[in-house]
Amino acid sequence: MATTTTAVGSDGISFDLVAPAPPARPRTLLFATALVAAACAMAIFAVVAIYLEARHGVRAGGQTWLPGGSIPLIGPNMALFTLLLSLLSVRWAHDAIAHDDRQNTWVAIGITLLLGVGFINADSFIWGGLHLGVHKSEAALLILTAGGMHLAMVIGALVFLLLTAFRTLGGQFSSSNREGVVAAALFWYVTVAIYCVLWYAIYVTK
Amino acid sequence: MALTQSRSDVTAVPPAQSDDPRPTGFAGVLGSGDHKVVGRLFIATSLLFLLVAEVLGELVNWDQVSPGSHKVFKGIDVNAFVTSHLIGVLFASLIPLFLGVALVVVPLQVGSRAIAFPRAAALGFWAWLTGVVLMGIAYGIHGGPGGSRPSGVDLWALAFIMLIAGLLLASVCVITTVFTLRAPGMRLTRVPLFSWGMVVAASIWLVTLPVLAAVLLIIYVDHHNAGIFLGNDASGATFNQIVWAFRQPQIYAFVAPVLGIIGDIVPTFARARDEYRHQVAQTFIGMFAVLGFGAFTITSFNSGPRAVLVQTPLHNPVVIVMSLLIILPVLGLAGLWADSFRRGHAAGAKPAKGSPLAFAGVTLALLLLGVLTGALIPIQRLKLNGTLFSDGHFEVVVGAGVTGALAALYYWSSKIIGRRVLDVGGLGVAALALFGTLALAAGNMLPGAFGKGAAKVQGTETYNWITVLGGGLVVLAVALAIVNLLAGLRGDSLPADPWEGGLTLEWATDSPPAYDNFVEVPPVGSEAPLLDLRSPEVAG
Repeated sequence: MATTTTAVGSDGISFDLVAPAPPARPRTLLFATALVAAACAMAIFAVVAIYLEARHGVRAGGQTWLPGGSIPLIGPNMALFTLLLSLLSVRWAHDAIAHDDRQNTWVAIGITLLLGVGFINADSFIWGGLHLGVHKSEAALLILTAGGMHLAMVIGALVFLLLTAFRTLGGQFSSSNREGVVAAALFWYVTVAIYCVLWYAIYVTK
Repeated sequence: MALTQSRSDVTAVPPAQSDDPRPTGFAGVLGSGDHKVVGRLFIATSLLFLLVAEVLGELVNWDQVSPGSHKVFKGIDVNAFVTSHLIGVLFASLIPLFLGVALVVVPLQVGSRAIAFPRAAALGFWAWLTGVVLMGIAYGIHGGPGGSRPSGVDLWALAFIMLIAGLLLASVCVITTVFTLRAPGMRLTRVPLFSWGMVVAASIWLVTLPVLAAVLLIIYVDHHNAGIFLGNDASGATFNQIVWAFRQPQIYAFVAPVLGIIGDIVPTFARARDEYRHQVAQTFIGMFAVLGFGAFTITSFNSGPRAVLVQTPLHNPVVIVMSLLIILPVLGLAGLWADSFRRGHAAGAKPAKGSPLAFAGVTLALLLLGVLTGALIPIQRLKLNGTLFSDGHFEVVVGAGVTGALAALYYWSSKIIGRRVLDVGGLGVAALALFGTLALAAGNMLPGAFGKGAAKVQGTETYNWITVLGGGLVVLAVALAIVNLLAGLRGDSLPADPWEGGLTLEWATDSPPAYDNFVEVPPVGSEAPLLDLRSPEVAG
């Protein structure tokens, strides 16, 4: 309900100060994005949980888990740093739109898109180098399933960011209505956070 | 004159009918973003699938009357019918039925003119429907878990994932509507209990159904490529990986909306407002849904081709405590609702009667039976987990879900179809559903409790006949409910509040509601805004 306050103008006439009406769809997109991100995270974490449990079972039997015995960390580390850098650029986009700086918003989203594509390239390189065959072992099957799901999420987040960029270009977002940019940024943050979990569970602890 | 001021001498002219850009007829249904149309599509199709799933279950009951010989499925894999019944009754019927009712009713209850993301809700419906149809095709070509055709098994897994994605999309729309599109004054603590029940239930679905989808994806990748985990699945190991979704505690999360349905029906019929008890009821419903979170009972994928784990790992302290705790909210709510009738009676109000109340009573009785018997299953000494007793428990809880969903259809029929469902028929249908479910449960639970194990064996013939009788009554109840709904379509038009005692906002709008729901949303100052309007002296 709007709050009403009576004020008196310089001409001595009193008038009502009415608080601005709330936006028609307050944070609807942001809220739904958070729900979808949570659902995506649960799906990927479920595969990680199964991966860890299966790895524990194999190791407890005295067998080797990874097909080649180990995974070099250089590739996964570079992929992680790429995504961590993108956190800065997506935050830049968020701040730029908050200051009605559309030019910087496009640039920041563009850089995030570039880093996202770079991550996909890095991920493909890692998998290619590992020669993981989905039919070869449990480890390969689960790594590719978890990684594939995350890759799908990255692609979805990039499409979301691209649409946001177009809508910003069309003048649909500003400092007073930046929900779309914030929602796309939130989805990207969750995508990066999930990769941090994958990086530690799969590549670091091996 | 300011641009935003209106001139009193200008009369608003309604747009001519031909200027309405919205498509009509079949195109209007296919392309509609109206939450009521999408909800009706969900309801109609899921009712049809419910009838099919119950018939499949009854055919299985018939087939297993005489252990060791097949009466129906001679030379056919009966497991395909068992799993299609289980999946059909939950994922093709019950959950979408709740979502369908929610898509129609929730925006009306919270005073919104639309659902959040109407196109996404429509996409959710079509994705779900496509998933169900593809799953039916997969079963038809000998796919399904343990199926003989590999491509059919792959199709089954992918169709199941698609079905889940559709349900999740619709769930997101419902939750977002309640959190972001409420009318002014409609605090979360004032949200009607059905909307609240849908929010908490759908939130649990949102964090558990993705886990099921992930398991199905692993099953697909494994089965399609190597069979490292599940081999050729001749023994049905595939279904064992997802059986946790059909057992407690997860099964409770799927039927949690029924508590909200009863919670909205009781004050209307008892003619008593909940006041502070509304928040107590919200707490109990939330507690029930949270205690239904069962993704952690997921069965592990063991290394190497094998058929393992026919039962979910329920014998651990957390599950035992959860199984006991979940009795509390059901008992608490039963006490609150009994008190509502007592207070209504004490205030001199004559409680109303009708089919929704009969269905609500049956639902509560079955749910109470479900949580009480469910508390016994994790007790290792009783050796009930994975036996026919667990199957009987599933039937009781699902029975509560079915009767709860039918209660919702009868109660909100004026908003869903614009007409009232035949009331006299409803009482009979409720009785049939009650006795059918009880017989179905008894026929499974008793041999399970008497140590007959997980399969129907020699000496269970009498129980098997009871199961057949119960299954038949349930099929009859569902069929009659559908007939009543269809017969109701030819009835007279109804006023906004046909119960003459509705407390929440959906009863302030036309039956059926207009495209944008409300001409003007009534002010909301409590959990019963319409009662405040009718009798402001008792408000608060």
